[in-house]
Amino acid sequence: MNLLAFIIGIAIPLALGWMMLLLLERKNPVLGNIERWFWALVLGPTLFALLAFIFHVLGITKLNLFGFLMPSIVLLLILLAVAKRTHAFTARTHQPAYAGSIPLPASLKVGILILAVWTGIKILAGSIDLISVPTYWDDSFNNWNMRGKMFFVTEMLTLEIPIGNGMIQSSAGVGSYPSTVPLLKTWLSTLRGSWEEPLVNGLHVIWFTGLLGSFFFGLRRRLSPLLSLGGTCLLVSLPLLLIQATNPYADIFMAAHVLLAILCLISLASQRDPEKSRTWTSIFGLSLGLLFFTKNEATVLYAPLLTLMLLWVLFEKKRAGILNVEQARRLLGLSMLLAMTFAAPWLLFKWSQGLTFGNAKSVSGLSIVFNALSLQAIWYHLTREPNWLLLPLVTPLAVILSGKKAFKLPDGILTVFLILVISAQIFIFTFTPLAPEAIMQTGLSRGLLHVMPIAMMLTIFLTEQLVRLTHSAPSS
Amino acid sequence: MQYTLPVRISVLFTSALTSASLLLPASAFAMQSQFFDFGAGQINATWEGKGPIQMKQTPNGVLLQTTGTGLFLTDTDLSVSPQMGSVTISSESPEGVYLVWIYKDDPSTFNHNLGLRLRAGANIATPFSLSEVQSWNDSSKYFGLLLLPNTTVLLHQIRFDELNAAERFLEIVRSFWTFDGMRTYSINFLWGPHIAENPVARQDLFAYVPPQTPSATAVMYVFLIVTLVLITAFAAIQKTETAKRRAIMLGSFLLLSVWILFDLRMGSEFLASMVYDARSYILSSEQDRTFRDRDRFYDFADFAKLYVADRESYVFLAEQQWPYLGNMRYLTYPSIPGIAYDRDDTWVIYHRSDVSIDESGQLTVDSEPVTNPGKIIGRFDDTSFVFRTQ
Repeated sequence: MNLLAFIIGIAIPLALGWMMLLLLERKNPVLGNIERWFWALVLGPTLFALLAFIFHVLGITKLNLFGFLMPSIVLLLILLAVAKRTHAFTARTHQPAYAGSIPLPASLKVGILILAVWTGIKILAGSIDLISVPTYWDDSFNNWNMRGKMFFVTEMLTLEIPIGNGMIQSSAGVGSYPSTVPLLKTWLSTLRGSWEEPLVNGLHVIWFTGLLGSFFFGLRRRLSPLLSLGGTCLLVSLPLLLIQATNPYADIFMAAHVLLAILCLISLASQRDPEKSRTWTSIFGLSLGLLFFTKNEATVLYAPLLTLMLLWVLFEKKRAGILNVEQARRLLGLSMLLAMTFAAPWLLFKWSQGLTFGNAKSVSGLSIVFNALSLQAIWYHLTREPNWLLLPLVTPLAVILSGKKAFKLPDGILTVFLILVISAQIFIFTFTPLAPEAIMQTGLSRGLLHVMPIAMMLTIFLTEQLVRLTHSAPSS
Repeated sequence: MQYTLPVRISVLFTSALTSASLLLPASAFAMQSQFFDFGAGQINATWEGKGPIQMKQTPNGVLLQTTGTGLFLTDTDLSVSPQMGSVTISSESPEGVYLVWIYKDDPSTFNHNLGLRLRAGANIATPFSLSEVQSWNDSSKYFGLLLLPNTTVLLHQIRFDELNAAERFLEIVRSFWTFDGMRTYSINFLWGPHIAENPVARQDLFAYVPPQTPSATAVMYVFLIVTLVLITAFAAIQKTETAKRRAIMLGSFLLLSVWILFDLRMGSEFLASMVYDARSYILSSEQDRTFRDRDRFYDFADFAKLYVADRESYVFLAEQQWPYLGNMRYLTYPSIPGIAYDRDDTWVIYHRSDVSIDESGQLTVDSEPVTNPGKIIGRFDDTSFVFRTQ
């Protein structure tokens, strides 16, 4: 029964996401057929939860089977009708210009295949564990799963969790977290008819799969299939990423959404066709809008920086003569309109309920206090612990060796975004009362996790370029 | 012809090892130990007591008794440079004593010490590691034991061990492949491999937070940075495209190799944790299974859930508040655990040996009644049950 509920419970959001992407692409598709499914796996469930949320807070539905199904089925039918009318289904067969295969030494081929098997074993073992053991981690039983179960029992978006005469650790601020992850757990349980841990925890495999698939196809636009597979294995090799991905935490979910928005931007930066640029901008708008409904970091950190990156790309395209001012303005307007359409419900709700705009702690009241211990903890986290294997050394090294190339479009998007996000995080953890999040290595590691797929992709691209350049350089 | 190069390399390697071995001191090839025995007729050093300590020779050792903090010291110089050792005692109760040492050339006569938790029992050897104790060095010193007030132990032996180079190297390799378990911090950070050069330190590798031993990750970072700088310098001196190309290829190969080594290490740790979960919980019977550091809590929660399902709230007392209270709230929701002693009639007790029922049927905490009379309506184990007032 759990498996059946899981399949149906994922299939509907997946179809919704897929249809939405297909309609945004229509006559100018940019995603590959399989690639689109992976993107839908990330965006679809968030869109599904957002619809249920909107209808519920408007007082139209409860968080029950009807409340979840009705909005999505109605939208799905509308999207189907529009797609049929606009012949959007032809986009299905589109094959993007992925990089072709290149001759590789047999030893490297065998090495990558062994690495893939090793990676598969780790993912399989982690996934089995995820659905077979009780909810163990604090944020799962005090936030994500707790709220999901509460919504399931009450059929309402209850913001405050009962704290049992004040004895259970304070849940203050948890209600300000976007409710996507709990809502999807509520949905699966509603479909199943009972709260089942294997079912609600198994959901996290979906985001991991979506992240890995999107990452693989992100690499495929520049690298051969085998190298892309190897690169994806390297991503899974990051120990903390693997642990987070195979446990009921929400940061892989967040990382997948940030990655999709960035992938849109690097594809937009490489795109010379104005129509395909329009498609990438639209998908960026969707990704950015849904990002607001993931975690609070999206509102205060990632969305402003991603918008800044979009402005940079449009400015560069205008400067290169690919777009004129009017076209650039229109693309910016389109993406912002789409983003705000999807972001507005959650932002308005937060504002109307007086919820904080921080990660459980309000950012508005934070004072500036220097904390040297945070810097020590960050240094310790990056140099004494193999949380991200050698990435803290290899990524800066690849950027330094690549020089200016690392800062030019399209890779510059990854480099600059990464530098800005990490600088902002170091600033927040060093100069605000959020310092304990770094000293205890809690918020710090999760913040870094959000951008680790981007750091890995950047490192792979830059290293591949360096190696390729040395091969093509004439010997002396 | 194809085999020429490997053969030459192996000959060169063997020759280099042989030559290098000639340069090593003889002590590098044998573990050396120094024993201080305390049985009658076996004492091989002069020991004296300082402070309120009584010493009495018995056939099996020296009986040490203190009324205040006492020192039991010798000025005999150690003939080994120990990385570890052990203290063997007999004691009726667990005792906390310290290995203590005072450098003879230290005018302040500062007492350096290392805490030892001695188990109760006869002839119990408590090992200790000195490798990671920064204040321990080979200088001439007084050393012995520091005993806290009102301590009684029968001391049999103090032993110091100096491992040879090969044994230390083997321990370093073994410690690199010694795994941490899935702990409450593992979702936020991982210690990764640490380096211990003796078996005692290796066994306690992740017993301390943070670990006392050097991080292998940091060591590897230093190695990589130094090697990459050397490779870059070599290419810069050569000033040719070929040298630059080779440097990049060599650097990339080196980084990839170390990456894969660490992936194998950390991936194996991850799989070891999964296997542990499978054996201890997933594949175990409901009566025997335990889950990580939570023991049988989840089965207890399932058991207790049945008794509180019809209650809005209940009292919950566990061995510690975190993580059990929050976890229990999630598991029994919509029934909420709390501490409304005077309002709730159902008390859920988990792993509390200090909670029992007195003769009048009242629930007591540390022998103090806290409820009206009632009865246990469900017992999970000796210290975990559900109680309801009448």
